Amino acid sequence: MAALIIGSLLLSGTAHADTTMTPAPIPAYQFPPLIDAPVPDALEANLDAATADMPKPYKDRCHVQQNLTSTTASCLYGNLSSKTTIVLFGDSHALSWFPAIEKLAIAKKWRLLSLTMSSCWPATIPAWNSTTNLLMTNCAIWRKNALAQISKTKPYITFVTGTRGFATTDASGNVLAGDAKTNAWLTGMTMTLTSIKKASKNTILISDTPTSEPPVIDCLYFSPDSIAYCGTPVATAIDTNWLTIERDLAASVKVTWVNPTEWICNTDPCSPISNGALIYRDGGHLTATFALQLEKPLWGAIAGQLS
Amino acid sequence: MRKLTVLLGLSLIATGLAVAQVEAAAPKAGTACTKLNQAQVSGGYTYTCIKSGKKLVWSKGVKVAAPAPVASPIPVPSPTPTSVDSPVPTPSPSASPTASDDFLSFKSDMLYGISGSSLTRKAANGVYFVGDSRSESNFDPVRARAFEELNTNTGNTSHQNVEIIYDISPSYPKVLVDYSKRQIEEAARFWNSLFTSPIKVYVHLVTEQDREAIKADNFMAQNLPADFDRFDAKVDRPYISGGGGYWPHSNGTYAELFLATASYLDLSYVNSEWPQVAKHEFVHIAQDYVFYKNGRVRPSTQDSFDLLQPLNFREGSANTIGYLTGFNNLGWASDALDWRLWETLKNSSGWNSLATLADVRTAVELTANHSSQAAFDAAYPIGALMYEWLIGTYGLSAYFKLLNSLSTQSSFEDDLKSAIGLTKDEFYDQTSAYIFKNIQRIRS
Repeated sequence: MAALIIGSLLLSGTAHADTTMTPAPIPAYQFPPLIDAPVPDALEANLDAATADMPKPYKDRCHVQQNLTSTTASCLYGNLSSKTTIVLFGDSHALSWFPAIEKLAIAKKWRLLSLTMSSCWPATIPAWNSTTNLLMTNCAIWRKNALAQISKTKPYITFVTGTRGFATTDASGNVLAGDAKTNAWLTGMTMTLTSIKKASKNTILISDTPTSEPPVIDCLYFSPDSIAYCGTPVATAIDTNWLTIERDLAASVKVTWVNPTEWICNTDPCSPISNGALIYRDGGHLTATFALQLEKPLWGAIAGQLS
Repeated sequence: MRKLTVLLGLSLIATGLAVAQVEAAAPKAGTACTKLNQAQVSGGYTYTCIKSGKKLVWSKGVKVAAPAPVASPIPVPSPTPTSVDSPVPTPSPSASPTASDDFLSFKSDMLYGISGSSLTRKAANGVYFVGDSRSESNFDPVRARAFEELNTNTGNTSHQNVEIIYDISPSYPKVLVDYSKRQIEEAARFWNSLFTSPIKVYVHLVTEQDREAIKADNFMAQNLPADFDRFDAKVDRPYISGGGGYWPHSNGTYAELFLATASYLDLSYVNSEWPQVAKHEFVHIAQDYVFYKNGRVRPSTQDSFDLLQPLNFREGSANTIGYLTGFNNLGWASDALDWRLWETLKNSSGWNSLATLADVRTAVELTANHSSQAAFDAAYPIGALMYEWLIGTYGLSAYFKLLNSLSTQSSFEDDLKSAIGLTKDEFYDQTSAYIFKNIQRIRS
């Protein structure tokens, strides 16, 4: 099997060639059991609306759809007159962070530029749509333009994240799997992060969030007396192997790594509800209401590392 | 089991017709034309075919007039064919367009244009007109009265009870934006007095380029992706898909109305029903408003909803009002209703041949609920005739009475008795006869 070297990171099968420079894998999370409870009345009454509890760039037509390459909207938020701009870049999993990052921008009086596209991974790799079995050629066009916009904007902070459920191909169009897929992603993310680092004073790679076993909303409808019944086992929700890969990539490219796992899941099973808010609107996307709660821990994680 | 389905009205209009129309060449001042007093709009100017010496030539263009405020829902029918914004001169008797100039068979492809604030229709001869030369006597008296009832000013000159909030996609065809807004404003004025308290109506004008944007709205997210797939596929003629309703949301009770079409829509290649969709959907807002205004609990199943608001009432009367107020005149509205019925007759053989009065009576029963997809489709044209008959026989006030009784009665039968004094069977018998008469006319 061909090995790929990225900085100090080498992936070949399951072996790490340079164990002295590569931190140990993240251990499996051991959380206390979830204390069962009924769905709060206020939340139960509004479960219908939860699927549409989305960040406002959707309505604003800032989340570029798969068969387009751009948007005509400005996609600027926060303090529009600020000279300090921060950027959110990535796919729909990145957009899940918008409420938290917008709240941060407002608190700091910064301007926020939201650059996201549906199913367009931030890694500079072909985006393969596993549903349509088609290569999304528009993604590469959008990504190139978005990276150029970041270069021009010279942000104070750029937040980058994306789904670990991506699909990609090699140069011949073969859909990749296993290490080949991971290596392609590592190469592509290195290109993306390197490009962003040149323009952005601080680059933050946020690890992908834990997932939820869909359909959580339907489950809560059917079992309003037991949130535990609708929880997702930690082993399903959290991919420690992928967290390790993301962490090592960040170290390799020398960008700040943020691991939000325990902000979203800290019991076993992971609770579908946090502080009265539904966490997920589907299997992989946070509700906008819950995402607002992440502003504080996010700022806490990065504040001391900003230059 | 609790259902996530929202019971709301949705009008989906599509056609398999796929005949592209070739537009007449754009006129140029001074160049030859063929028909005296013919008017044609091009590039925002109206050109008229005038006599210059012995020749017929296009006049200097006159800028199309800006839309004037409209007090009544739609203009009254014009007794003579009025060429588009024809400025001068007044045609001499010998040059007046003949009745056949604006003729168009309802079985043919109906194309509409927009000139200033007016809808225009392309006649068989290729010329666009804003009026229809047929007199009222050409139409069934019931239809003529229903049209008159619906187009007599309801007394509402504004819509102070209806606040409209627009969300207009940059990709929504520019040619439709002002027209769509006018239709919605007219509908708001028409229904204004029904709303005993102010309501908000969120209007979304969207296209297939808004796939991500509509995800944040459950109503559109549940209903539009399939339409967008069709628009993306470009295999059939684009259309306007609509939805409308009024219901409690997590952030308050308000109405939503969407009109969705293809971003590449061209008025020369579009399903012919599009002019009435906005007004059709606004009827659903009115239906929902009265239905829920006294705190009625939302029916938990489609069947229980259909018992209180039969499908042929909900969609049928929305069609009656959409068609009879969505076109400039009785002639066009009648043609459009006939076309819709004609299309149903062509496609109904596998469901109900509608060949006899008994067949029609059965169809009326079947279209009262979601018994099948065919019944659902037929509920629109069949119900349209049922409520055309009601309004044309008992007047618009009877329809309002029926509508208002939705808020209090426990069955649709009670609603009918209260509004027009008929039992449901009597109503179905009489409307079946009216529908059958129309079917025979169309088939003749």
